[in-house]
Amino acid sequence: MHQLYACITEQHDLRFVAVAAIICALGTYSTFAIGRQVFREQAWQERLAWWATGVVTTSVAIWATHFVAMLAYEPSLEIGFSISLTGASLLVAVLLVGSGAGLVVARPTLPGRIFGGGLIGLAIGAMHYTGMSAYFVQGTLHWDVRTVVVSVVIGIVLGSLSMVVGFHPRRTVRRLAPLLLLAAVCGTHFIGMDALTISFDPSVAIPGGSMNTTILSLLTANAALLILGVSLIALRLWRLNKLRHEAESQRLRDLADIAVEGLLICAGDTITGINHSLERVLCLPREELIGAPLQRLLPDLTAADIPLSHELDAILLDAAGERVPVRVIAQSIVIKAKPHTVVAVRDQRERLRSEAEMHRLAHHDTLTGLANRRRFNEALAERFATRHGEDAFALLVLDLDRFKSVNDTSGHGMGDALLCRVARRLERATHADDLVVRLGGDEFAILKGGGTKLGEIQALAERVIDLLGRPFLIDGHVLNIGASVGIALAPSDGTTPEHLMGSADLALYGAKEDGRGRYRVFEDGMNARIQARRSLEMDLRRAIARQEFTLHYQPQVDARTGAYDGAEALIRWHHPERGVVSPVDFIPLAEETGLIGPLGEWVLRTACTDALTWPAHLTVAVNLSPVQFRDARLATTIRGILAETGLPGSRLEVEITEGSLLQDEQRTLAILRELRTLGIRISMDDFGTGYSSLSYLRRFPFDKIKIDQSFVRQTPEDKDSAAIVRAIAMLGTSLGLKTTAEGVETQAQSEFITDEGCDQLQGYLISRPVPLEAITALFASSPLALTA
Amino acid sequence: MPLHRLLYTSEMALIGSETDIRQQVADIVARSAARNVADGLTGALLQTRGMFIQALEGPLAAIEATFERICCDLRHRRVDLQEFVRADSRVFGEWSMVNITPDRTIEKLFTAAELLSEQEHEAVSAQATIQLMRSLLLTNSTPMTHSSLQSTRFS
Repeated sequence: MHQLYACITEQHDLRFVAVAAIICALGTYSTFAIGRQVFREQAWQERLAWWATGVVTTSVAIWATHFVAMLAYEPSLEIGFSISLTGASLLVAVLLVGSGAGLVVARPTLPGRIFGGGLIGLAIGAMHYTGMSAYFVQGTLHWDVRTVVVSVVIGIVLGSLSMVVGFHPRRTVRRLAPLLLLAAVCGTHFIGMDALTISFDPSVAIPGGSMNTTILSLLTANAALLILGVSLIALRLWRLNKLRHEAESQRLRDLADIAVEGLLICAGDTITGINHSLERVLCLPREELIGAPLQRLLPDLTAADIPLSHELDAILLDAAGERVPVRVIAQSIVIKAKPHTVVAVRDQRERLRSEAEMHRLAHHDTLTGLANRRRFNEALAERFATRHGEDAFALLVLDLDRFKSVNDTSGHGMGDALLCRVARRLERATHADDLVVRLGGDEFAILKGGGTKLGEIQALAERVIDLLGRPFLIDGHVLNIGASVGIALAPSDGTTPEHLMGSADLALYGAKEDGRGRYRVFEDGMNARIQARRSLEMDLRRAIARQEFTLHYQPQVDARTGAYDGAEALIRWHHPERGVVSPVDFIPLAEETGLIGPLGEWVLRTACTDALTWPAHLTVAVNLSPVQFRDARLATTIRGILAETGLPGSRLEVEITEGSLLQDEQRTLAILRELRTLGIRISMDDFGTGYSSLSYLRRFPFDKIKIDQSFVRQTPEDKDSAAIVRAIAMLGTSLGLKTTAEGVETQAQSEFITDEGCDQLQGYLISRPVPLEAITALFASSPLALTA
Repeated sequence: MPLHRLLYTSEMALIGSETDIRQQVADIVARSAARNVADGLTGALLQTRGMFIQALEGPLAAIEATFERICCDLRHRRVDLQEFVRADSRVFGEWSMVNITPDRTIEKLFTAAELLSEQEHEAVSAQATIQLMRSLLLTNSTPMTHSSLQSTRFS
């Protein structure tokens, strides 16, 4: 060690040693700075470029260190260098360093680094001794072989160690690497110099063409420094540029990651980046996708296919290979001077789910979960639209037989629970390809899948009737309902949805008429009935305009005096073709179609006008339909008619049936009270039939009870009828209401009824209903008593 | 918890040979026994001349759910509820569901159809049927050796 120290301090010019040391330190520093850069680069071209730069820098550093140190060596003799061998020594360094560095780069494992570093260490020795062979001095060189071996081994060991340490994951450890390499270079060199002894030999001549040492030293040092400096500056600039790019890319990535929608960056059809949102959708980390072809995510699609202006529906494959419905739209951008495509990938699953849910809600009945009328209409229309030639299908409509009474007596909660159970049973009665629908209320329909084999359809109807006919146990109550089913077949019973539905409804109507809990298949006769009804309805509409109606009047007389009290107005329809149509046939139709409104008004107006031609003490009685009471303006209308015709309210009597009282009680009561304030009298018609609840008589402001003619006709022979007539008459007396007997046909009836205390008589015995002229004549001719 | 008891009749809608049907009934009984244990129901199923007569007893909710299942079951036809009452105690407490197949002698003596048609839908008739079902079960071991009895003890 002392010897080595003496070698450096005593035999060397320390200024040159310092320059050599600086070159060497810079060189070893750049070795590792550039070396790390090699590993940072991804592209092989860049890796190669930096590897070459590193190799040249390191080799030049080793070589220049040796050379400048050699210049510092002062054997106090004349010296010189062989240019070719000096060049060769640099070449040796480059080759060995190159292979060592190549090994480290190719195999950055520990053995790779040990061997690669060893090669670099060997390069130092090899270069040194090649360089020494270029050294000419006026004397003989003597080598201490042991020391030479030591110097080479030191170089190899330290070089190897520097590579091991230089790419260590810990930074503090890595910092030792340049120092170790520095030690390798310096160690090899100075121990190598220590192994050298020069004995003066004046016979040795310095060969011609040797370089002048001073100029050489300056040139070498400057060149080495220049190379090292340029390499380091290049490295620095490169790093800065890289960092800026990385920062830019990072910013781009951050921005992309903030985006809610999935983003995909492609260079051509190669994926170069994806954002967090897309990672989440795919359940794949971006590392797995970068470099993959676009088709791995979006099969059957190239970047050029994706439109820039509008979204395109596509399928995205996720990690599990699931097909995710997406919409894609592209945007071109330039990243690092290269054109890229940014593809926005919008996950459609949530939207499709909510659309499906909305669709389900729109097409299903919320209570029972069955398809609703809308879905049914669509399905029915579709069945018609997709029907080919002889394809036939069956439609079943059904309603529950006693549902309304359950709903009324047990409450809506129970009714709802029942409907849900009904829905489940219907599902059990049907097959998967049958569409079970709740049309509303207690009406259901089944659009049968499959063909129209009558046996199958009947079996289905029977299953439905059987299952719904079974008892329902709900909250301890036993509910017995049952169902009636109407069946229509398309296309024979209807070629349009409306037509088919109408036929099925008619069949249902028929099933109910047959008695409940049955099914009926549509028959043409049913259609004829509906046709007749339709044509009657059309005629009825025209009849008002054509003034085909007239009023007939049946007089009412005082039971005791026989004097006329007034008359009941009765409508007659003289149809130009049908002749006289009975009110029994057209009044229900007028009520159903709403024509009763204008018709009723016409009756009231005409009756009031006609009554004005009668003696002033006579009243006119007009029947009001329950349907007319649904119109809250009824009282106003009547007030208007009275005002218009000038008939005093006290001369008008309205006759109402129980039906009017069964509906909205409050509204009916309000109308009746208002009529009373106009002086109009109110009669309870057809009393004795229906419920004839006594409570109605108490609650509503009646003036008169009309005993139904079915009882009157059977008096006095039939004991029950006689008892009823007597009871009603007594009831009237005790409640202070007048009683009128309708349908009095015989003298015996007249006498019996009068004896029982009835106030008024009406019937064929007195007069049949007659036209206005006749009644006016009747009133005028015999104003006085008819014998009682 | 108040007990309820239910008795219904129905027509069998099972298809197959006599052995097949016996097997199917045995399956129904086994499945219903298993479910009844969980639901706290007990009862018996008597089958005679193509008819089922079944008694079920237990908590209201379980009875309602089970009966609704029966009413959705197309292996029955014309399900007719004979009795649905609150009960003080169980008649079939020992059996979660037991299958009674009376032999021909018994069938002649007491056909369920006759029993139920005599005093139709009346509580007396339902009571009589339930008592008959119970006595068929209890006397099975001694004189009615021909009756097959598949039972699942209710514990």
